[in-house]
Amino acid sequence: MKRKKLERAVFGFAAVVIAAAAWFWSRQVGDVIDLLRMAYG
Amino acid sequence: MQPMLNDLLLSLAHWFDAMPWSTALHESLYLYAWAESTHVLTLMVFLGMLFIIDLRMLGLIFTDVPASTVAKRLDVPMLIGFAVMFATGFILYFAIPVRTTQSLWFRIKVVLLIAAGINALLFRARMKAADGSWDRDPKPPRRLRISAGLSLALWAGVVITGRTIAYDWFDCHKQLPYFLYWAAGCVDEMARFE
Amino acid sequence: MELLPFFEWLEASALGEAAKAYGGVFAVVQMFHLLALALLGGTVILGDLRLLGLVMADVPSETVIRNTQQWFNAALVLIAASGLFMSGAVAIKLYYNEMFWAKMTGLGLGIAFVYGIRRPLLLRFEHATINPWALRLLAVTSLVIWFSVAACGRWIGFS
Repeated sequence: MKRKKLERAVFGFAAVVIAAAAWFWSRQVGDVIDLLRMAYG
Repeated sequence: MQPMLNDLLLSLAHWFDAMPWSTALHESLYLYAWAESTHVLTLMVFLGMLFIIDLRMLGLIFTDVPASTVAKRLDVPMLIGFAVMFATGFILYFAIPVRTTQSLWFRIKVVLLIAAGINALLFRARMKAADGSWDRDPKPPRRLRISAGLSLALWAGVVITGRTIAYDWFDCHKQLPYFLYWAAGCVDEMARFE
Repeated sequence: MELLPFFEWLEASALGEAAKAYGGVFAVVQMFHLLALALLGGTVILGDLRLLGLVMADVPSETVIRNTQQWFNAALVLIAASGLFMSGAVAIKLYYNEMFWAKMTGLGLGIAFVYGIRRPLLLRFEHATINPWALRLLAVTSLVIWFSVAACGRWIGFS
């Protein structure tokens, strides 16, 4: 059924997007922390 | 009246400027950028909800939902957005108080903000005074449509003048005609003309 | 695929020249970009918060999704057109900007998500018949994507 297929697509897409966003933003925050450490010790 | 107000606003700005926190914010690596980003991104919450309410009052969205329902349900997210924008906006002013006080754009923005606020209060009063007969109409009465259009224009103006504060086209240190010094409150530059 | 020539061409094109030459025009286009951001973000946030049951709970979610979609389309066109104009002024700089590529990746994902999954599911089926967890994840994913696109866009200017 089409609905089931779209629901599965939602789950797949959500997993990829949330994992990618978590990786990307944690890397950005990590960069910020590193820079602040360098600047203020 | 205007020279007095200029002096008053400028001394207030200098008073903020002398505070260590103001300098710290201005010179911080990230705090200022974060305040500014939050300010801009919260447009999606505050202005986004406001756009939808105003578009409903113009009969352009949610025509199958009563106007008062749209206005009431979106009121809380809109006000939360406004509170965040006001707080971050104050931080941005606090970090660079003197230049902002003497910014032509900032002054226009504050005037537009006040106008938009008065318009919003009048709008609320008109909504309350209305007997609700048009609540379910896809297109509200003309008076309310005018208010909604005015609200859209005023808030668009607030965003536009807010963005232009960043440009130095009309800063006091530039060579400008007297009336622009007057409008921006460039006290020292005005004194040179006299 | 080598994309740098495209960015070099864009910056040298009439569009890039115009965006660079007239600071005032650039500023005006940027204002439309911001106004479109508010409209696009507003329609996304409203639809997603409704799917999560956090706003307009007494209005059917089908109604909210149906009403916001054409304004999302309008905002997307306006924001993309103004964005393209602005990128003409700084195309080569953007090519070397990590945040720009992150934003474009997010934008591509967002457009695929909206037109490939979100709309087909939400406009064709009654929401009560859809798996509630699919609806919640759909809303959260949408918020994550569009927030990331907007935040990366803001950060292009700082990095």
